[in-house]
Amino acid sequence: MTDKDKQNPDQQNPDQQNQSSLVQKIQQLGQSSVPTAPDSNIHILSIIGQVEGHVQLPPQNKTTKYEHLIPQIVAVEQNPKIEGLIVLLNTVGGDVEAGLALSEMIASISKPTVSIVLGGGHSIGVPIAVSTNHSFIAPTATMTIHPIRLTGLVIGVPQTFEYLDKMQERVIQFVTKHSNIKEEKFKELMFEKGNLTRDIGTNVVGTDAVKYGLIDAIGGVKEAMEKLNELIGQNQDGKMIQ
Amino acid sequence: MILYTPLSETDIFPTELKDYQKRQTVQVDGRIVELEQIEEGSYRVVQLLSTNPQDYLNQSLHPGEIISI
Repeated sequence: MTDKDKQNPDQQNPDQQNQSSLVQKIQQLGQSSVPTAPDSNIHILSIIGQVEGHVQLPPQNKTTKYEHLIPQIVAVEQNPKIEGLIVLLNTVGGDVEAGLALSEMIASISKPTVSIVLGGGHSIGVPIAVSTNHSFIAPTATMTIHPIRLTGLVIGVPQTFEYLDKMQERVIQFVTKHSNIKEEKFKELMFEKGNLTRDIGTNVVGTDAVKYGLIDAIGGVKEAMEKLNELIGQNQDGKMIQ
Repeated sequence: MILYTPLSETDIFPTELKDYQKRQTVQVDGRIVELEQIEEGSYRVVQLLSTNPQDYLNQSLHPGEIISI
């Protein structure tokens, strides 16, 4: 028996199995297969739990790993069948640099993007939420704005302080550049006293986030889909003129 | 026992290495899935990592489904 002959029975087996299951389906249900849904032109990026950066968190934590998301964002940008992206957020925040990396990636996508904040988009979730072309927040959702913090061992306090100060400046710059909130207002919310018991910062609820210009509109899935389809339409019109 | 400390819980009670190793991110049918090992060769789906909403309708990749590799 040659190698070719040896391979043949293996290759035929799955075909035969497929055929027999097909025959069974026709006999039992009178149909060959359930029609499959067409490929969606809108893809969804969900950012849930903690944004995980350099440190791997224990398995009981619900995390979103940025090394998983960044290739997905590149794939969305590259795939011509994908016309728009929805970013779903329900996060408590997490690694600042990982969050900023995600925000910059989403902001630099050429395709229309829309974000929805559901439940919470706290801390580093704020720049991610504003990084899209249009942002929505559920009326009950909240966003905590607070200064950057650091846990763990610190070597070289003055240097680390300066580094953190610069990092905070980067977050403020990103948010003010990608949303309608004024820098003074954002800083005021960030350093406000009395809103979070014995802590500085503000917990902004859905309608207030829109009022301050941080988020574009109140809405959920329906509004987000409508807006995204509108942006996709505009995007295609623009291409045709070119 | 009360521990009053600014350290995080995981700094005092570190997670065992085998807990990390239980979780794996693998490709199943061309989709990236996070799996948790139940026993040798048998895994439970923890999370599907995909941007395609249609993938979430695939019954065999729902969280909790058992996959044998």
